[in-house]
Order: sequence, then C-alpha cells, then structure tokens
Amino acid sequence: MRTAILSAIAALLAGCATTDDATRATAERVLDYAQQTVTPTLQESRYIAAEQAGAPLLKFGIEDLEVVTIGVFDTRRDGIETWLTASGPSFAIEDGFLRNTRGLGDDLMSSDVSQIRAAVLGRENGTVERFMTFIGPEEQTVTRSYVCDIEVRGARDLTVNTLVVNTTLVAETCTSTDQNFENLYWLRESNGKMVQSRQWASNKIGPVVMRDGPNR
Amino acid sequence: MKLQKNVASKALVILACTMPSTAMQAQDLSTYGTTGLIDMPSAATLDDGALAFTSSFAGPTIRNTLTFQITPKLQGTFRYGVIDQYRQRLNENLYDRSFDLSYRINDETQYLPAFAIGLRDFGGTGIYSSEYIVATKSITPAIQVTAGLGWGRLGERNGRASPFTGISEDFGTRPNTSAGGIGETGQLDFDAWFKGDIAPFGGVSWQVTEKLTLIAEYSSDEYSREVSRGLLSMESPINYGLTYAFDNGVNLGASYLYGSELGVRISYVLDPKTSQAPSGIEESPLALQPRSTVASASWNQPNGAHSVEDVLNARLADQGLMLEGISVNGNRASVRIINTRFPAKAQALGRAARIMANTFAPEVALFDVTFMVNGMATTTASLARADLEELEFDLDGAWKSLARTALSDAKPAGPSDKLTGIYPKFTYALRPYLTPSFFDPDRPVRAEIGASLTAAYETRPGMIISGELRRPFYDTISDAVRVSDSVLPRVRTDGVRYAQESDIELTHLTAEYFFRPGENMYGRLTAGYLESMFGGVSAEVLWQPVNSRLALGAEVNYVKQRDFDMRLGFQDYEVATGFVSAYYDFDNGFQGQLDVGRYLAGDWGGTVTVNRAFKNGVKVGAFFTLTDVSFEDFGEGSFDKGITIEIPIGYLSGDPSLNTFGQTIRTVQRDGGARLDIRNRLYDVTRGYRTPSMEDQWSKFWR
Repeated sequence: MRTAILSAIAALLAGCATTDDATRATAERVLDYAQQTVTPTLQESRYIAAEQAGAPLLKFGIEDLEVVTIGVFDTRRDGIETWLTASGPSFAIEDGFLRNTRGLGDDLMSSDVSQIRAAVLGRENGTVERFMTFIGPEEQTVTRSYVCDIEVRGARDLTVNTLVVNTTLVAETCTSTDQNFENLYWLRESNGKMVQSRQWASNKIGPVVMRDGPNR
Repeated sequence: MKLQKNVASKALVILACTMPSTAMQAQDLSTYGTTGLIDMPSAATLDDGALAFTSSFAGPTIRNTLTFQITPKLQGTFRYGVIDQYRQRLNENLYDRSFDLSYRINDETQYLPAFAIGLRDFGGTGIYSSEYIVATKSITPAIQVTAGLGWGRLGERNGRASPFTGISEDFGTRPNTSAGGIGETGQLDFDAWFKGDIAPFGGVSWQVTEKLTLIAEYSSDEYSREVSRGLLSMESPINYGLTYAFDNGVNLGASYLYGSELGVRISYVLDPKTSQAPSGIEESPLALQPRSTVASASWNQPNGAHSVEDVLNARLADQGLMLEGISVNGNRASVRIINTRFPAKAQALGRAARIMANTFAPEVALFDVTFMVNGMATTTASLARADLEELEFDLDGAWKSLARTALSDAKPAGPSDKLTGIYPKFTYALRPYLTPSFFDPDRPVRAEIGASLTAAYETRPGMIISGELRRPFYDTISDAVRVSDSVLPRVRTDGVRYAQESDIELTHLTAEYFFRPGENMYGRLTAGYLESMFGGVSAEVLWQPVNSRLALGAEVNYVKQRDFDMRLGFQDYEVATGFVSAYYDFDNGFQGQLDVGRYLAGDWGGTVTVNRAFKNGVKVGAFFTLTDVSFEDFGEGSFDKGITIEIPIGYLSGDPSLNTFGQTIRTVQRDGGARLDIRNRLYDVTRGYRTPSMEDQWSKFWR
C-alpha cells in the first residue's frame, strides 16, 4: 500500500513540471504521509479505498507552505464536490471554484463565489463581488467581502498529465479594505471546464493551487 | 483511541509551524515588566488581553514579572523580585512579591497625550511602593515622549512637597509602608498612596526600525535603599536602553542604568485571543452525503452486514465521541454521547450531527444529540437534517445553524435508550506528573516530579470509583526546612511534612456519584480520601438552567486530616466545611464567582474570584479570600490570594484536546481561607455544555 501511494504521488508530480506562475513555487517537497500511517482513521481508510478504486484525483499545492498533496474525490452534493487528502485536510469545490477548506489551521470556512463563477466561466471582463468567512480572534466568525476585477488574459497552452491542453487564462484581482490577492483560472478550450487554478484561501494559508489529475 | 496517532495531525503540524505564531510584538516593556520606558512607567498599554512574561537583570536586582492587560485600559501585574544581599545583617537576599495596577484614563488624540495612573507594589513588603500619573504622546509615528509625576519610590529624586498638602496635610508625609514588618504585608497600603514628596520623570523612545527602538529616560527613582546598603552606585539620573523585537514574539532589552550598571531584559508577549491555528489542524469532518447515497448504504438495506448502531458507534468513536445510548422514535433519532476530544462543544455537535445524517435512513428528519458528562445527561441539542443539508456550504452557515438548533436541559435516559454492554468501564493510565511549589525564600522554585498511576472503575453511568498513586522520583519540596509558624489549625502549612514523610502517595481514592436531582439541577456525592491532605464525605448540588448565565451551588463536607505519610491513616483534626456559591458568566468574557461559607481551619468568610475567559479556553484570573481570621493570625500575606492561568493544549498545538495546562500561583500558602481541594466540582464539570459556553465556540460547528 505504502509503495503504491508513494509511486502514485511520484508519478503525478512528474507531470507537474510546467512554467506557469501558479505552479512555480510548489512541488519543492512532498510529505511522506504514507510512512507515518499506523492505524488509519475512517477518513484515511476512505482515502485509501477511493484511491485504490481509481477515483478521480486532483493535485493540491499550497504555495506559501511549499506543500503538494493529492486529493481524491469523496462526495458530490448539490453540485459541490468534497475532495479528501491523505494528510487530513479536505477541499470543497464547485465547478472548480474553492468553496471551503478544512484542516489547514486557518481555514476558509465558507464562501459565496456565485458572481465570480458566472463571470469567469462566462469569460467576461468586469467587476464583481466575492464573500469569504473565516474564524478570527476570539473564535469569532468573520465574513469579509472583496471587490474583484475579472480579466480574460487570453490563450495559454498547459501540459496536464503529459498532454498539452489549450486553455484560456482568466484572472481575478480582489481587494478589500486591508487585503488583496490575485486568483488565476485556466479554462479548457474544448469544454470550458476548469483544468487548473490558483485561488487564495485565507490569510495564513495564502493561495491554493489545484490541477486536474488522472481520471478527472 | 486512534486519535493520538492521527497522521493528519502530524503532517499538518508542519503547516502550523510555518505559520506566524500567536505571539505579539512586545510593546515598550520596562524592567518592571509593565508598559514603560526603561525603569519608568508610561501611559502605553498592551493589546487587550495580552499576557507579558518578563525577566530583567540589573545590578543586584532580578525581577520576574507577569503582566496582564485585563481590559483595554486596565493592566495588572504580579512580580517576584530578588535583591541580592539586601538583608545585610542576616546576610540574606530579599525575595519580594508585588502587585501593580495601572489604568489608562484616555486614548491619545491629535493634540492630547494619553494619561495613565498607576500603583506599583500596592500591597507587598512595600520595597517598590510608588504611585504615578504619566502622560505619553507620539510626536512623530516613530518618536514618543513621556512625562510623569511620581510618589513614593518614584518621588525620591529632587522630591518636592506635594501640592495636595493644601487639601490635607496628610498628603505631605508618607507613612512607612513596611513598618508593620512581614506580618502586615499583603494589606493594601491605602494610607500611603499619593502621599509624601513628588518628583518628575520622563523620557523619549525612538523606534528606529520596525524591530529596533532606542530609549533615554530621566529617572526619579534614586534607589536610595539599595545605595545605602552599598548594593549599587547611583552616578546619573539618565538611563539609556535599546530593545529589539524578534519575529517569534521574544523582545530583548539592554540598558545602561544609574550611570554604573548594565541591565538586560527578556520579554515574551502572548496573545490569548488568537489560537495557534484558529480553525484547528485536525482532519476534516466527513462531508454530508446525498440522501440517496445514505439510503443505499448496506446498513440501511434489509439483511445488511452491519446495523445502524454498529456503524454509528464506529464513526462516532473515530471522532472521540463515545456512544452511550441510541433511540429512534418515528422520524426523530436521538443519541447520547460522551465528548472525549473537542473543547469546542459545537464542533463535537456538528460532527456528531453529520455522522447521524450520513448514517440514519433518509426518513429520519430530526436529530437529538445529548452530551453525557460523568454519567449525567447535560444538554440536548435538537437539529433538523434538512437544515444541515441547507447550511453545510452557506456563507453564514455557523450563525444560521446556531439559530436553528434548540438547546434544552436533557431528559433522563429511558431504559430503551441505553446501549448494553458498555458498563462496567475500567480505565487506567500511567503518566508523569510535576508539582511545582513557589516562593520559599530558601529556594524560590521547588518541584516534585514522578510517576502517577490512575485507575477508574465506572459501575454504571455516574457511579465512579477511582484513585491515584504517585511515586516521586525527584523532589525538592521535601528539602524545605522552614516549619509552619501558623497559630491556626495547620490545614495547609504542613505541606512540606506531607512531602517529607510520604514515599508512595495516595492522592485520592474515592467513590463518586453524579446524578440529576431535577430539571436544571446537578448533584454529586463523594466519599473517601478526597485529596492529598483530607478524607471524608462531600455533597454538592448545582442549579444551572441551560440558557442561564447565572448558576447557584451549595456544598457541604465533613473531613478529617490525613496522616503525613499519605496512606490510609488519619490525624485527629476534623472539621465541617461548606459553601454556598454563585457563578456568573458575563457577556464580555469575564466570569465571576462568590463562595461564602466555612473553610478548612474552621474560619468563616468568602472568596471572590474573577476570571477573564477567552473563547478558545485560555483563562486568566485572580482570587482573594477574607475570613474571620485576623490578618495577624493569618500571618505573612495577611489573607489568601492568588492568580490562576489556564491554557488549553489545543491553543498551542492546534489539535483539539480537552487537556489544559493550569497553574494557581499564591503569594504564600497559609491556613486561613483554605478550601478543600475536591475533584469534579459540578460547575467546572457541566458549564461547558450550557448555552453560553456552547455559543462561544459555535464558529466551529462546521469544522
């Protein structure tokens, strides 16, 4: 089992080498989670079972922390997918847009990205709003709003799982009173679906990079 | 339980380690450990709630200080100072405990400086006794100027007669605060405050870079007591200093003091409001599955290999939630669980509710989760499955789920609710322990370190027989040579004899019974060896409605003093002790407690406790007890008082745990105002599951 996971991670990472901004800072280090496994928790069991069953995979990277990990598809409900990682955290995604994270220490607890989703998938330049909820000091729920400019940056060729994919790059530049960040989305030319993205999750976590893996 | 070796936690500790720590930049801390220049105070404050630890060394003086920014304007300080060879005739050092308070009267405005008023050492041996009024103003963003007037020790240099003598001649002379000797320490020196000569002090601080600050001050403290003893030489009123703030929250200061001495200071400022990892690093909860997926699960099919109960049991246990009972009536499913893992009770509830939704057949629409504590059903949370489904990804999901969850006082379990085969339960643990002991002048920090074996046998819910044996391996407490000089029954001051005369210590061996005498009521009966120094019987009731911030309790005990060898024998002293107590959980994070009754030495009186409880479980508090024992009979310190600090392990590690580091620091342990140290007082056991506490951490419901 351990070897299988390790070789899976190694194989996936081999397909990671591109020159995109989004992935440049990642892939420095892979944590050998498998070697630390003693008795798996239920979540680990689910991860292992899904991975063995050939469930779709997504690659997740956290740039600021230089961590790369593999997520397996777990659940889809009301159009929102939850992806589990072997190391414990999970990511909820709707049409490729990050809806929440769990287990990162400073999680994105929830979000409303409906305006962003419409503009990015519609490939429309313009200004829209996004809302994100975090846990702040004194364990208080803090919801913040951001004003975001959407800009279609044009065609980009991307190597994904050893195949060259024609994509359109759309950028989202967001500001609030004291925060600003830039999100990037690569949309597949053929079907308009997101194949890769870089999305800001929270203050301490920074951007999360996601890229389609095999079976996806 | 598997949780301890959770891979997720290990992996993400690495994430946590790379995060900025919860430490704050130490702001302008003086050698006294309070906000100030070098030796002199300023009108600055720390961030609200900040906890600052400081050690400073200069000439013959060491000061170890804990400062707490109690409210945005009020600062409190406890200090343990040592002055080398101060007691020259005895050839001894002076060990000095002192308390300070300061209050910032106003915020700085464009034209007006911030003003503060402060009391240093307002009730100790009086060595640092002084008062001040001080103003601080930023001239540029980087330069701050401070000027003040000092009394007492701060009024020594070029002191002038007080202008207030016009109001009353009393202001002209300062009574000698240490005249009463050790017997009167601990009393508030009201008579001396703001009396005697006044002298000006002041200084400038220049923040050169984000990390480096340079300071110069004019000191009004002549250190006359130290100079007269030849302990230091006062050559100049001007002190110079620099401070450097490291990213990890450590702040170092170096100074050139009195024109003759070099000083060093190290400080660390902690922000109790912000946990190391605010949302935690534990593994993610399982996402809600579509009802169709749950319906087709094998346990919801006829002739499935596992029952719903088996699956629920395994899934809850995986989360550290122990299933005690289960029942399904129509479309309502109820579970009774013991939370062994999550300090945020709403998180335990959120996870239990999602597990129920992923397990029970789709026809079940309503979920009841009852939290069991020491065999008592405390609070029942009722939620609708449809609300969970609607709110899982909602932007305002935490708040809305709170609004849609009903919290009520739990009903007793019916016979059909209870799972069979859980009782009797037997648990045991072998672990190390550390008991510190502070402020013995011969050796300020003493400790006992050893191994502890605990075992508990729970015959049925609420009926617990448990004990602890300790074997010390390293012990400096028993080396103490000071014997009790107490004129009261020696209910606590013989602590050293207990350490000296015991080898294997039976710290407790009790039978406890926890029960619910009625709605909103809790009860406890305990009998046996209750604590290390007393055995007997104890009974307690607590009234605590589920939504109430007020709780009322009463406790009666009849106890006999145990033998010094801490085995099974008793000494002759026996006493009836008991209290009525009121607890109030203020909306602003403060908790108050008042206990009135009879203490171990037979003295009658009351204890006032005030805690600032942060929502993540960090707690900083202070207490004092006044009884009918006179200050003189009480002895050193005059009355019992102290401070407590409690820090949950999860605050530091980011991983949920019910364990906390806790320490009570008393300036001196005497026999007056001493309470029985009984385990599992009801308020502490049940409080976390009542509405005000559950709401505090509701942000973690979906975590």
